Amino acid sequence: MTNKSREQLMCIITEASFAIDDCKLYLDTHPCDREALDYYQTYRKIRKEAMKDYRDCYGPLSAYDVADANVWTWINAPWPWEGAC
Amino acid sequence: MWNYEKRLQYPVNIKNSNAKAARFIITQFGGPDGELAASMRYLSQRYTMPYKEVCGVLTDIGSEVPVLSRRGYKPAWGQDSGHPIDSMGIEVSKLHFSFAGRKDKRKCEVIPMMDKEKTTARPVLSGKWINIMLIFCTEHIEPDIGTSVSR
Repeated sequence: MTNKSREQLMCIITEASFAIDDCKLYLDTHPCDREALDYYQTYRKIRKEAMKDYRDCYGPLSAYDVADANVWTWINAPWPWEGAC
Repeated sequence: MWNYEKRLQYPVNIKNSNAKAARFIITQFGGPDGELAASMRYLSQRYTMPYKEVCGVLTDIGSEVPVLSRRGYKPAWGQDSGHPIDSMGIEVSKLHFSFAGRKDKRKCEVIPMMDKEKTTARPVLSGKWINIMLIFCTEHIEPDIGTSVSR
């Protein structure tokens, strides 16, 4: 369990994932850059923990990781295009 | 090869929806010179690349285009600011939904209108999974770009 709200966790996940998206493109063309590799591992760790917390508290983010329940929770709201707009 | 997560790559908070901006932006997505076509080219060309770095870049960037384009889309049906449009910037007059396998079996079609008046050419897009074309709205784009849109 975590003491963070859904929005806070989602914010952490969004930011860590974006850092990884960016770093991934750099590492594709600079595969031996130690500093970039360390940067990637840092954010990988942050993201992994945040994803696990989110999944445990608020629902699945990936269809390959849906917790057992009596219903298929994957289709539950919110889908990413609902909400803030 | 692809997996997706149920989240946006970038958070979206629309304060003032702008259909003109949305229409312009969405025209950049579809069509022969659009982002989606570029993505398809990258994903097709990666198979013959002699260097692994280039394979990686083409795959990663090709995969990100649909992500970038989908972020911030929201349905704008019935709003006074504009009409819903498809990826070519063509107004869509009707959108229903296909519920394959559900008991009510409502029949669904997307009927893009070719221009504002009713025309005889009404291609029907339908299928088991209908790609919902939503309007991308942003507060950061200036509202008077409508003059450059040819449709």
